[in-house]
Amino acid sequence: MAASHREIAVRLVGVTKVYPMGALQVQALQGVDLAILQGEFVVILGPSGSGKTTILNLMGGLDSPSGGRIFTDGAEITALTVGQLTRYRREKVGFIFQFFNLIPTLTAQENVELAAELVSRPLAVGPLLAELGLGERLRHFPSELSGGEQQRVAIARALVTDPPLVLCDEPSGILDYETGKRIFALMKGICRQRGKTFVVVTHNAALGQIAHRVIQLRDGRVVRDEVNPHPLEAEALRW
Amino acid sequence: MGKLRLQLLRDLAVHKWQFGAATLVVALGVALFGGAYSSYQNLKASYAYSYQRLAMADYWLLVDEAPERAVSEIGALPGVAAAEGRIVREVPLHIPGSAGVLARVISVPQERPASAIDLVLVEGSFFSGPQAREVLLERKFANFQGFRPGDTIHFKKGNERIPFKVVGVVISPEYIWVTKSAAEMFPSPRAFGVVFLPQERAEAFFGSQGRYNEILVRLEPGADREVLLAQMGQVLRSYHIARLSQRDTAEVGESRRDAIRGYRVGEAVALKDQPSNKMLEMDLESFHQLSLMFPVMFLAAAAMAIYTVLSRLIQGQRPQIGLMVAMGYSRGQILGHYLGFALVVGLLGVAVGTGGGILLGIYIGDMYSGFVNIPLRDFQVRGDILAVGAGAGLGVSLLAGLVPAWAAAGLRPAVAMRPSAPALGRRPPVEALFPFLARLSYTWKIPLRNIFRNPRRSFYTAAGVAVGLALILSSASFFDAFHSAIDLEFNGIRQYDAQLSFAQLDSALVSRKVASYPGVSSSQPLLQLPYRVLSEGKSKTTLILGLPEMGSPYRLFTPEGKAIAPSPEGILLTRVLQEELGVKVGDTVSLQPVAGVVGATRMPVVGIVEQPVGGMAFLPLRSVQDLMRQPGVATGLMLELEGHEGDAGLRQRLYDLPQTAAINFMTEQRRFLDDLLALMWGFIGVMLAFGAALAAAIVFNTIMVNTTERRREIATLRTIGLSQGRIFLMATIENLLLGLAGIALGLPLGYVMAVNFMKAYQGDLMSISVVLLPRTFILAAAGILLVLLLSQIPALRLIQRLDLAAEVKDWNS
Repeated sequence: MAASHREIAVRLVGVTKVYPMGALQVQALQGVDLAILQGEFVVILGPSGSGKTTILNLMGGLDSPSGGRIFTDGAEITALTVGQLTRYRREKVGFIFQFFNLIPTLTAQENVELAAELVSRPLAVGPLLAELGLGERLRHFPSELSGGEQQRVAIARALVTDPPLVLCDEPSGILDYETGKRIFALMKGICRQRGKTFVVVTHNAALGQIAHRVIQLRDGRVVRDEVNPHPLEAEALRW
Repeated sequence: MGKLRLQLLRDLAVHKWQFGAATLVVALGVALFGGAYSSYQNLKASYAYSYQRLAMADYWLLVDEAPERAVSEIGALPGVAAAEGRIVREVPLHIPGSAGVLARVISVPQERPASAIDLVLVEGSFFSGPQAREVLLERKFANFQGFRPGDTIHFKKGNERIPFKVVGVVISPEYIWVTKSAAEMFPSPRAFGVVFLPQERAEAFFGSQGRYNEILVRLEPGADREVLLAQMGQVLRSYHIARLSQRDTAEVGESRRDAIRGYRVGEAVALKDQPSNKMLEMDLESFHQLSLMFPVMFLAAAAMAIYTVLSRLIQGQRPQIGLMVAMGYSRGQILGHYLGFALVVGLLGVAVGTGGGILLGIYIGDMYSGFVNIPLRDFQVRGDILAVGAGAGLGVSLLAGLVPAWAAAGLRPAVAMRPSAPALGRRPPVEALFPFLARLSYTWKIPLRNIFRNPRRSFYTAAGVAVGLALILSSASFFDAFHSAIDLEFNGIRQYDAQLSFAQLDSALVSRKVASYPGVSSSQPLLQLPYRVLSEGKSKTTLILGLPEMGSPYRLFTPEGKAIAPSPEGILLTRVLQEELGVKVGDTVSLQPVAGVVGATRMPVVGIVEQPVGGMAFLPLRSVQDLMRQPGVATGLMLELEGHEGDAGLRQRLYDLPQTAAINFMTEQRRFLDDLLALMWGFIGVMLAFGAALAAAIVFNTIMVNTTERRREIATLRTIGLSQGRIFLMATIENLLLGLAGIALGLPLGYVMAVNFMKAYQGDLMSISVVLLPRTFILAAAGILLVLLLSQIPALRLIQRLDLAAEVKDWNS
């Protein structure tokens, strides 16, 4: 895919990842080259152990590759120190997890504020939560929210720092069908309206239909990297 | 090996530090109980064994004079095992370079073993004969003064110096704790010592052939004491000793120095009132308190530690438990498996604790032997006590493990294999109470909410810190209390530098003469007499001190700390005496001289005086002289000296006065007491170590459990961009807040324990008030906080090493 340097949100060059497992070495990624463009909604598909979560972790600076280089926003994150990586995660990336990972002792609003106070120009927390349909649930603790509501709080937390890149690991993994679809609709809308780059990791191949691009992994290699010329709206999805 | 057992061992290996910390707390509790209670039993048994083997007297009959026949007649009374007459007198010793030592000289029969109060020879030999010009020295005195067999000591008789050869060093069951009297519990061996003389030599020396001033009586087991006392009184009456009253406080030897003599009265001092025995009883009681109070708390903390660690382990292994049930393991097998952790912790804790208890017992025994002269030791490893400690340690461990193990056994597989519900979040009540807390930054808000997230665990942590601190504080309060008492005695009450004791009642005018000596800043006479104070059926034998009305360097203070002067309008009583008699200011008490009948009167109590040691009463000097109808007399002088101790010339001049029996310098006395107290540092060192270890183990466990439980949260915080430093800070704040809560609990707990601990030292011998100096508290609290900060290091390292990518995906963490 041809793209100018400015348009690339994340670029992986010859990235490998090896996990030592006792006496064995597990090759999670085997020379991945990839470029994700700004404002794209990308879905990475693959069976368990294909390396999709590893790619997400490397893009988010949660892990470092065994070889190769990763660039985002013009900077090489593989060369960052621990402190710089923290700042990178704080300012450039939003994370959405399968299990929401909200802080149980903080309310919905506080969970989002916690991330907001880490950056100098956060989005307004109240309106953001209201926009995500949580205007009435601000003072509720995670244990008082449904799964869908919790995930929406997690989305708000990921967006409040206004990061260019949002990384999602099986965001509907433990949600029911309808709620899962609503979450994807929400994310897709945000991607479109706010111009964020979304990278979603899932094993659900049907989700590829809503993506601008679908990347398929197998055994740590990219086996398919396709642009979807006619992405569906999430509401139209069936699986 | 069964697979479950293999799993148990592997889990123990994985969580070795947490189970290790729980094991340590069990071990500390078992060791403390084993060590302290064994020591208590060892000391008690040693005293009893020494008393029994060395024929300790049951009664001391103090008389002015009784002939040999009276002793024989008492010895022949049914129920009396033995009666032995002896001479007990105080004689100044001449020791070159010393400003006078008062020796309590006690005659000893030649026959060994003695039928009442036998001596244990620790060095040298016994007398070569009943008339030998030889002495045996009590061990503490001999050691302090550096006397060895073969040395010579000199008795001072008027201007004469009479030499005696030291042939041996002994321990007496009567002086396991060397006291001079109930009013002088801590005489310095520099100024006071016990010396034993052959019976006939003593009789010749004191010109008292066949006549004794003390009769030791040993009773048959089960003898009726009241009947025998009446019979002994009857025997003495036939020798013109008008009455034999029972003393409620013993002042063995004090009556020897009675200023007023010649009255044919006698007193019976029971063993329970004998000062050395009383001091030992007091000590044993405080030991008893300590050996029960703290182990109970330690074991309670151990139970909480096991409960917390095992609960967390089970929480983390829910899927595994679900799988086991699904595979067909029975509830009993699962219960047994998880109870196995508690069993291993209990067994290891008991093994280490029992070994530690034996060592601690040996250490305490050795330390005590430095304090007191234990004539015959019955120190042994007390299997029964160790077994009780082991049983308690194991029982507590199993009980603590039973609760989470039972819950694990009750888990249904489908429930167990599902992710657990999100932790319950709620606004802690303190935020409703103090709304500003809700506006705190997240660095503070998250730790604060975490504390209320698992209140039981937080309470347990704070309680662990509190018990550790309380142990340190209550042990340290012993020092504070005694240091304060010593300070009050020497910086507050006794504003003089030396007390010169007359050999016998003499003219107070000596004071004027002494005051004119160069180097003497002031000299004031003092009249000190043994008296019985009575009020509504209660009676107490004590000393009345006659002090100059104006300018007395013996200062008196009310319990509120206000200065008070002796008044001719009535008597002042120390708080100890007041409480013993149950009187208050305004009540009238009767005063009866211990010797004779002259001086009996009634007078009102006009004030209460705070004095740490000795229940005494105070009157103006003139009032006591008038009472005794002996104007112008004194029993000693209170001297203020230049440079506190005077120069060698002055000391010699004072010592050479014909009236002088001994001079007791306050600096020396204080040094002796400080040295005595310093011996206890070993004890506080042990308690410090135990307290700190307890706090460290509890805090370590809680922090590790909290961190393990919150791995995903912590990883999430790191993922969204919180720095490692800020997460460390949040963990530290949470721990410090718990530590501060523990300190807030530990202070009153420590105080209550100190009150209990010091109760043993509040009786008719002394009244040591509970004191906890702010300095001690601050140091102990700071120490505990330091321990807490060190204990969180492993948890911080765990945070540092968290695999963020793995943790944020782990639904079970």
